[in-house]
Amino acid sequence: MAERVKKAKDSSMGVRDKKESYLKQTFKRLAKNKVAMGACMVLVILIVLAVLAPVIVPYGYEEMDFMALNVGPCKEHWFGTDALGRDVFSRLIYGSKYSLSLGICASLLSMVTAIIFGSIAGYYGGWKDNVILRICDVLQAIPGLLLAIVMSAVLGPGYINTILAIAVGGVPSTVRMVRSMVMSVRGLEYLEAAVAINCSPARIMFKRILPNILSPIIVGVTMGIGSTIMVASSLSFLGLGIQPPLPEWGAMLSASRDSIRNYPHLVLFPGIFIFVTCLCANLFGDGLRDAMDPKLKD
Amino acid sequence: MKEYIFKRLIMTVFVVISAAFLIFTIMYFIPGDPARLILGADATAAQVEAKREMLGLNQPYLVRLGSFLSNVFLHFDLGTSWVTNTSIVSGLESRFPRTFLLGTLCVLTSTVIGLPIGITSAVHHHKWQDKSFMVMAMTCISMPDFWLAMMLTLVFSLKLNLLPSFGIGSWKCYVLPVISGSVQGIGSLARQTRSSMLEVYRSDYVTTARAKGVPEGRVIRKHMLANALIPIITTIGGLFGSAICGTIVIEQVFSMPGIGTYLSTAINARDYPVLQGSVIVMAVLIAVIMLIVDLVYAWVDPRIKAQYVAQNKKCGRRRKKNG
Repeated sequence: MAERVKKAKDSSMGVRDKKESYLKQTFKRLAKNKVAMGACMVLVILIVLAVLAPVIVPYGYEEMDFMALNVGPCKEHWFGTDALGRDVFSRLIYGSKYSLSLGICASLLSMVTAIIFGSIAGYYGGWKDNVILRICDVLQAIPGLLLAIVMSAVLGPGYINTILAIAVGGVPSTVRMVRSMVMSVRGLEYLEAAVAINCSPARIMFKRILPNILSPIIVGVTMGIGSTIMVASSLSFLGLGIQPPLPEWGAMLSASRDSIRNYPHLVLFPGIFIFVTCLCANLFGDGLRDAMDPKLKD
Repeated sequence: MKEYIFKRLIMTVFVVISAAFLIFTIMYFIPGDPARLILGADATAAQVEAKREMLGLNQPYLVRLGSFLSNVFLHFDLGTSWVTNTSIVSGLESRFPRTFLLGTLCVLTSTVIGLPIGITSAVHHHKWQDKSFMVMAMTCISMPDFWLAMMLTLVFSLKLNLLPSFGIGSWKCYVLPVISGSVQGIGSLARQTRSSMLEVYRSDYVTTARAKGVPEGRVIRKHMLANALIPIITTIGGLFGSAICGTIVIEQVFSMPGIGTYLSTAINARDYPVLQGSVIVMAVLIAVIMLIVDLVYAWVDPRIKAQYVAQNKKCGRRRKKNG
């Protein structure tokens, strides 16, 4: 008897194992992917460093030391100092706050906007769909980086304005993706059921449809974070976006362009930071895609 | 086919006009008075008012939009620069070939290098060639082009003195810009080629071709690549767009007098008509390239043509049904 009970328990455990939540499965698969986990670790470390910057970093980002101008990497200044005697390492760590948060916030903003408009377009169809699609057509007439440049030239510098300028470029393609996903689930029975029990359209869209189509959207957005970070640093390299003396990585590169011959360390380190961050974001995005949708993996 | 080309042309016209419309509308919301910006802070109110009248700033939005669009598309007039007071079209004319050349060279380099890398990775799927090439491709995609450009200048022009670091004097000047502009393209094209080659790798017709004893090289070229080409061509078309955008940053690093430099100088000088004109020209260029890419599609892949014809028939039938 006791054995039978135990057996039953085991089998029920087995069933529970099978019905593990999707999120947990994704997580398990992701955890097995060493490259993606490594990339994730680096990003987490960068984020932690960015948050704790005032505590850990030896110098402030505006702290000038006129006795040590353009010093190469040494014991006191790990990555050297720039033309105003500011510690490059400290500035880079402070700067990770801007570069990372610009990339992530802009991606999130365009994702949220796209989900709202894409859901409306896909769910209602008809003239709403048409209007939204035509607006996307117009926005897509200009490539992302150009649009970001124009928007940011018009909106002026500043943190929020830069996020807006970068986010606009990412919206149309994500709207199209969300719209097609919504349309693919629109005729399914659980939605019919939801309509039958008199759910409001907003509830159907965001409580019933959204959770079912979220994973490809998340994958798409994560894969885009790397290029968003690149766009953000290109903008500040061109003198738009985040302005000096704030230590954005692209702005630091642009500021030390003229001293590249004599003080290459000023150009080397910010670039490495941008490169490593983009690389990790891309690798993590790839890993997430493989984990969420193993079918796509070749 | 004619119908397809015609429809595609109409679409391009729509894209070009909407690009101009979008740019004009964004520029419309620039804070501050353009007349005041041009004349400076010392100008009297009467002067500013006269300038506003001259520029047509007192007219309503729709009138200004209409005259802007007709100026751009009917008279090919993009206005005059606020800073230098010269015609923008003439400024763009001399710069356009350089930017176009640089963009084209970047895309060509990306294709010539990226395509074979992608094919090799797909053919040696899961072997060391595949793995190392994909690591390389990922590195390429994540490489900020402006930083790479600066690093290349540092090594090849400042330290080794092999290549010039700026200007457009000889072919040598184009070497570093083209390398730095094509690296990201190499990465993305290699990845796209690999994944679309892998999609057709195990299809029946490839097995059949092998069973018939077709040499492996021919299988790869004629049977696999031909069928995998569509997403690859899309990527190449997209590369053109990003290469043209990329020239903005790269031209600035190498001080090449192209549209990119014109644009970035205009940004810093707050010379909005120049910014507007350069962006429109770039958008038109990209739209035209996309048009060519789509026409190449139909030429490469009869499936698209067939699909279009079928769709048309269906639409016709539906129209009849409704009417």
